[in-house]
Amino acid sequence: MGIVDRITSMTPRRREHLEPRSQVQALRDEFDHWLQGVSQDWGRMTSRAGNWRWLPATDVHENDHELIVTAEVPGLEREDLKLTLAPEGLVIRGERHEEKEDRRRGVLMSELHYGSFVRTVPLPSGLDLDAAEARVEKGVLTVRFPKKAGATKGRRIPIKEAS
Amino acid sequence: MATTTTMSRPSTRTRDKNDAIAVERATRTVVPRVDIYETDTAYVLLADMPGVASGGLEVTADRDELTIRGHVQPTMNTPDYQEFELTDYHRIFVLTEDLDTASITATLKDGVLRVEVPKHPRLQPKKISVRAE
Repeated sequence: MGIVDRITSMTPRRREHLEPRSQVQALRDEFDHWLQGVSQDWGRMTSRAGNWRWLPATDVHENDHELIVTAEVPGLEREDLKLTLAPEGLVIRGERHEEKEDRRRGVLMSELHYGSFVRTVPLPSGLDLDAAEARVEKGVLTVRFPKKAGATKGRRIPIKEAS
Repeated sequence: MATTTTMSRPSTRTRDKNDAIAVERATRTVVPRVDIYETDTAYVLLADMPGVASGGLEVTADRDELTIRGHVQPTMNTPDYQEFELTDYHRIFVLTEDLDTASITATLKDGVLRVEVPKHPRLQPKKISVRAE
């Protein structure tokens, strides 16, 4: 009784109209997609002393003038998040509070993660850390780091000839 | 000559098929995670849909099916490091007969969709007041 999940992700797609090569590609795409989902779920959970914690999924984008870190933080507001810069990178701390519902009688599905998390995103050198800007909107955290002008692009290390 | 004809035809069709694959890729959606719980008067569904604005949200109840869809405006190019992708969300649920589908309400806050489906009034618990004689 109530609301029941209709399995949408496993619905087989018609692919007999595709040539064999495309069929293989389509199947591969589907499998990749599924595997990605599974590995993401594992990757986002960490265990410390048997307590399972969740980690928000994070993306890093880079262009010529900035580095952008985005994280999925649905249900979190500005006050629920704390950002710090540590030697090892950007540290994102947050806590998702479960909706208080005294009238709650029974649970039919429970897929969302609640509680606190700490996630560190390593940052490359050459960023202007003082000019970092962060905002949280529609459940997505975006942190922008402008690149320093004239930052070193890396140095070549010569390999010595064997003597 | 007959061979040439049969050779050329599949190649045109191949192009159509590749287009079809491209379309299928472009319309790929993710299944949002949900919590569903029951209260005395309703069923509440919470769905994580980060990146969706209220204008891009579509909640429809058609007979016994509840469909939630969220459209995301893509903003950035392919990331250098990726764990998630802001793509459209799509998930379908089946509503049982004890629900009042005409009075469904939906709200979106901080990327979380909240859908409340009231139970049919005749199935809701009623408090019966006792009159003193």
